[in-house]
Amino acid sequence: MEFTEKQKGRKHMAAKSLSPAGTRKKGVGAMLKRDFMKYKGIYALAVPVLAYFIIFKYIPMYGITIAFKNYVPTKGIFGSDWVGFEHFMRFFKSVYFKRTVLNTLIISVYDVIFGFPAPIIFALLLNEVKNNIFKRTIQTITYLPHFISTVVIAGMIIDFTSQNGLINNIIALFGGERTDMLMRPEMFRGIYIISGIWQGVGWGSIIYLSALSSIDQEQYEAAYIDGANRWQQAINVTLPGIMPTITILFILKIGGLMSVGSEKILLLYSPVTYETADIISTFIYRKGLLDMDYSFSTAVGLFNSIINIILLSTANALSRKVNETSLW
Amino acid sequence: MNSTIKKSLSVVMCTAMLASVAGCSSSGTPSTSTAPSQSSAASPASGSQAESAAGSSEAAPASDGTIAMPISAEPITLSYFIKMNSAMSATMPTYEDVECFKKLEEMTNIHIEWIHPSSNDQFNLMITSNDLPDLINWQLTTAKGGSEALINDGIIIPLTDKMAEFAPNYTRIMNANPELKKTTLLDDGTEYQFINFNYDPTDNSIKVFKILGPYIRKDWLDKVGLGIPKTTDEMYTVLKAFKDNDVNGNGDPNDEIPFVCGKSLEPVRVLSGAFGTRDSFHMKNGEVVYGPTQPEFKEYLTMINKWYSEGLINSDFPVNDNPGAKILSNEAGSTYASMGSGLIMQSTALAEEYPGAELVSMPWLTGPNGDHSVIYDSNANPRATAITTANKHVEESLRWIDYAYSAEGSMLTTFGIEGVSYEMKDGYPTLTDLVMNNTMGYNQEEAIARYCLGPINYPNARDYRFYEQVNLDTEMKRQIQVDWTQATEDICMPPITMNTQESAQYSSVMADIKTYVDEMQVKFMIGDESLDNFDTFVKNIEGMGIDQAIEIQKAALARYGQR
Repeated sequence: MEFTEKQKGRKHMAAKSLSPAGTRKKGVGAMLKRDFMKYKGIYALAVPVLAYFIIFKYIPMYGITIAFKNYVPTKGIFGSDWVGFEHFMRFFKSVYFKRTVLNTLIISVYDVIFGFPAPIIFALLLNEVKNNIFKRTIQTITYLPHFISTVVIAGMIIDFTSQNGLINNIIALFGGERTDMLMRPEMFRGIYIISGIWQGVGWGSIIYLSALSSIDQEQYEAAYIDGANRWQQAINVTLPGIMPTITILFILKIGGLMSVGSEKILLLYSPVTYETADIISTFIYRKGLLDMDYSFSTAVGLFNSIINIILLSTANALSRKVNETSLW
Repeated sequence: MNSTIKKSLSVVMCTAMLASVAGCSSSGTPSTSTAPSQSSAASPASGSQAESAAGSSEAAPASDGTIAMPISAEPITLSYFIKMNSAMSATMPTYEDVECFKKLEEMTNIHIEWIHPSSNDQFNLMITSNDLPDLINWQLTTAKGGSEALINDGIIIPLTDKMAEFAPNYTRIMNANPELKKTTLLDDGTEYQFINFNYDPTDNSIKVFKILGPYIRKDWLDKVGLGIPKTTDEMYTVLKAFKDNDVNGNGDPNDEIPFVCGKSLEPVRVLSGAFGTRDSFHMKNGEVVYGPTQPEFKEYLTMINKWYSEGLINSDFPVNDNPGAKILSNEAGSTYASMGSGLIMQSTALAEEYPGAELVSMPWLTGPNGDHSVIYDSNANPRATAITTANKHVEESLRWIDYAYSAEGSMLTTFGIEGVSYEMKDGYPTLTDLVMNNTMGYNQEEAIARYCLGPINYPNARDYRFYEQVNLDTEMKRQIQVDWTQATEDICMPPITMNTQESAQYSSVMADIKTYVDEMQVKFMIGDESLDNFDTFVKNIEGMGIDQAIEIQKAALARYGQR
């Protein structure tokens, strides 16, 4: 039979990769080389991305050393003096160390307890809606707030929670007392979390909805035949079906526990609410205003990242044990 | 499509995508070209200066301070890093187009390459970039480590030994005003910067104009039959009267806000001067003390708490981000803000919307113990020009800068071009209609900005007659100056400098203390914390190490006195 050039080429390749039995080189290096030769093109595609990460993310990591130095811009990173753990000790010894770390953790934990399930519940509920047009309208309306910038959201919150704002008007309508809500430390966390949920629930549910749509319909039918009602179906079919997605996203969320977004807090807090609103990043920001202290901020940032990594690895290991799903 | 077309199409698409990604990179920042001076040209000039002390060469200044032109035999270029004033940025891209600078370039043979930063961060970026311009204008004392660090780190150069010879005009004015001169030096007496001030050429004196102060609704005062309050007790009576009566005439006696304050807390903060204290370090009987630990501070907090609990201050002041809106909406009776964008702008807008409404300035209040001080020192953190280590034409630069302090230079930079932007009428430099009432579509500020520097904070001796014409042209503006300049600066600390070790220790102690004080003082004011706990408050501050900070301030103050 007549082979085209292409088919001849493929046969040649196939022949090449088939070595006489027993003579194939073993070991990772050899494996990698073989793989590389076979899929040259794909590796070539990956090179720019790898280069990007190495050049812009990994190599600059040496800059973290300024956390252990007294960085002076004109001396440069290598010229500045070593001070060891001085900056860390300064942070730990601060009167507000405990409060800021506690506030950061509490706000993050609230975010996990309330903010994490919200998109899931929302996706589950939306999944039950039969009317497609209604479903899609709701989706569009709910994921729009995600695109509003933090500054605008903060402005809206300040306006709504003011004495004569929307929320107080509603409270007054029901006979309640008007308060400047942003001046009450006990209300701060609630305002922060609830506004965060409002902004993020629509967008966050998108990924769950897509996971939901990948659940095999036959499972639902089997459950229905077994006599399960909608609620039981949700618990026994839907939730397990999207469990891998939930786990992965949960691990990622844990990883972000210590880096609570400070822009929104900076915009909403004030000295009156420091006791619940002052988190690590905002405290360091103010400290930075007194003294443009690059080294100190890096040290605290490093502290944050290390805690994050510990939490992330723990969550990942636990998840692997419990669920057999994990990030790595 | 056969495979060749497919292949070429994919190649074309890939190249197109790559090209668009490459095009996304931001254009580089404008490179600062330090003067491409031929060193051979520079040395003969400086060589001849060294020889002729009497100044027969064209470069040396005559003894009465007039600078011989051109300053440089060869055309040279200097790069100048300076923030652009907003009135100018509205009408031109760089200072190059300002008439007085054009004239200056013709006369001096020195071309300036203007570098205008668009944000504060650019100062830090510029310092760390190893690509310094020749001249920098900035609030040098606010750099990390202060101006001392800038000199020690090799960014700017000390000018002490060159000032007298190459900047005679500036030196003359400074020597005639030793107190002001002290504020511009380092502790060891090093000179390094050129600042801006309002200058009276007839007696070498410096005039101070105040642009921030308290003001109040005159028509409301008339309605309740009270005069402008001068003491804190009188102010209380006035505020109470505003609160209890329907002074804004809309039928609702409860919507008036007698005193409005925003989350910056400034209007409330400046009131502490009436008690001879403030929420930071200040002078008391010649000694440095920390305000919040003083008994006067408790008196001040008690008063504010009283005002707040009786509804005389807006209840949301710690979180209110737009107090000016309350003035404009005819709800607020008094506050503290700036003259231009506050008092004058608001009073015009208010009068248009609510005929009869009148905002006037009021004097700083005197407290129950007779204290009558402002809390901010007027000489703190000035914007100033310094010469960098990258500058290869130090002497020419000094002369160029100094010219703006000479008699003609002051006129040129303040008023612009004679015959065009100003005319001498009976010996008084009068701004012409071209700038005051221009028909080119610019407002007054912008028109002035095209010709001269006028009110802009640029290192020159601003002829104070400019301010007379622009800022004192109405009775209201004159009254503002009268009201706002009366108070003393008794409690203000002079602009002291701390060295690097002191800075580090100071900031580590004060970060915590400042957070605590900021938090607690608001709590005391709004009543969340009872004033009975003031003593615990003081104890806590002392426990946080305030004594170390006071010692540092004392040492810095002692050095300041020696300058």
